[in-house]
Amino acid sequence: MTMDPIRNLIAGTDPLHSNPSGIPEGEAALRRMLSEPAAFSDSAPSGVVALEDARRRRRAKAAGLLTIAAAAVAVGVLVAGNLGSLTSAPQPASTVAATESPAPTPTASGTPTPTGSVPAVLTTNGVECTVANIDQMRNDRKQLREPIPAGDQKYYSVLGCAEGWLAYAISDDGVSNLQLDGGNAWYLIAKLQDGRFLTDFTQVWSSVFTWKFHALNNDVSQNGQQVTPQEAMDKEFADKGIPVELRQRLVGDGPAPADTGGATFQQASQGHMITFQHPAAFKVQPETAGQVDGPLALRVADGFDTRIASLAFGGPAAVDFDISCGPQGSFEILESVPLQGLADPSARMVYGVFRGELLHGALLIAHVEGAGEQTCTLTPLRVGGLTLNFDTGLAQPSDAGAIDLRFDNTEVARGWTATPEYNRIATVLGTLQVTSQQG
Amino acid sequence: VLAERELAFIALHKDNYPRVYAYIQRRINDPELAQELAADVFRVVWQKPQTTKSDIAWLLTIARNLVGNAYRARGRQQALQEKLRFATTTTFGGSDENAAVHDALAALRDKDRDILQLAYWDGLTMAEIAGVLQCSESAAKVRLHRARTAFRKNLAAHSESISQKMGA
Repeated sequence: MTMDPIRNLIAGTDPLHSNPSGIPEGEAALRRMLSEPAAFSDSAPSGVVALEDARRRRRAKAAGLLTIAAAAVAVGVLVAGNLGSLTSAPQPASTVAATESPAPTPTASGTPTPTGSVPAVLTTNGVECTVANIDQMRNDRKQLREPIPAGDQKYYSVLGCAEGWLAYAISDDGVSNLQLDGGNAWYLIAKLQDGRFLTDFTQVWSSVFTWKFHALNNDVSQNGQQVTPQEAMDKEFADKGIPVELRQRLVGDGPAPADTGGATFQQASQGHMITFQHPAAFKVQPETAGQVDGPLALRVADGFDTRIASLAFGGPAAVDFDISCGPQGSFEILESVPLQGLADPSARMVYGVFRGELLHGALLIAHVEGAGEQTCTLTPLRVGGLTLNFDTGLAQPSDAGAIDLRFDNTEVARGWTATPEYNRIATVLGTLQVTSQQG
Repeated sequence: VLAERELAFIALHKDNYPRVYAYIQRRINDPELAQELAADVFRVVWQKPQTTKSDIAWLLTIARNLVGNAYRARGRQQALQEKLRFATTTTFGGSDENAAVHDALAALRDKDRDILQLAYWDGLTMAEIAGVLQCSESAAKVRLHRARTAFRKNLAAHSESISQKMGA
């Protein structure tokens, strides 16, 4: 409670004031959004986005053109399809395919691990871990507990089970045929209750992200998060109340660190070796043809061929700059990270905005003199007497073909640091290493 | 590359869904419709190609438009206000104080009520309010100040005891 009586009075009439826990769980909402065939619930949100497309697709669907998906389904297909195709993460320790038979104890065709330590048909607490033994309870008004329909069981496979818990996944075919389009981003979890397994979609423990998601989401080369997929999965287990010690038996070991999809750029230049990491989808190309071991001028582009950074080392492409920062300066620093890969201890990867009517964001490597003071200065790094630039672009407005980092205000610019896009670019700049090849 | 956008979308949803849902639910008091409209907000986001925006102000701007569309008709708007007033008085034990506050809010101009709710229901910062209302931060400060003054005046008219509490 603050000392502001007007704030207190109005906050007191907040409809959620007495029931802040009434907010639905976001992950379930996302899954529902992706799996619902319905298009938009409003009538005409003019000025927001053209929804006629969604309605047209819905009408087409109603007319029997089932291959044209409604808006929500289209989103889900993209999410599921791409999450499903990007990496080839190893399967969990054991996979037991369901049969099409609705019999209570179907014969499972096991694909045991090479060690052969897992039996073909898993059991836990005396119950066979088969798809036929799984019930699902949807998070809808009815909340009925129902077995997975016999005809749909072929789409599911049990990943593992232990101590009354069971993890299972749905195939790409199942995702497509059942229109559960968000499904492939998650493994489903069921708990033994009354002699059968139950996936209760009203509970947070009903799903965890797949290894593929965790591998991408936590890939340091893509977004700078310093956790492994295994650490991320364990955290998700813990957050959702699923026993972490069962993780390996439920969803397996997960992908090896080598599967994370990063790439390394390395090139010699003027007696130095320049190295940095980047996502595999990025391209590093010379801006201009140069001599072997001569000055370097590189363009780093993302998968859309948008230039996200330029690197220049020596030669005419490398430029001197002197940018004033601090409260009185033309540039406001929002993030400053020491660069580990350079001998110079004052080298920083800096993110900030050039002030003006519209704020222009930029990430760059630089010396920062007077950080935290009323006036500070950014100047280029120098290595072996040569100027080194590595930045997203200092021109305002940005060059054609370069990433557009204009922001309405500082908060928006600051908010961008929480995005995977920022993390990927910051990681490219932040992993820069320059080592001398002499001696 | 597309998958990276999808991951960004999932992260955006994860980070912002509760606030978007709460924003809508506060204004329509219908959990099911609020879930539908919140889903619509993120569908709109998904349909924006190549967007780099991820701020809550932008999401709430979309939510605001969708709520506005759902309740644009005058009759539905009045029915909604009645429903919210009823919910306010029943949820909080029929307190006269809350009913008076609700009446004082209801008597405000839409734009004044809007900014007070953004500030004190949704807990937005001044920069976020400016983002939702699409004005400068200093303009948002002035508007909030005016809305507070108007609220104080309305409340004095509706309840002498509360206005005494406020030191009016």
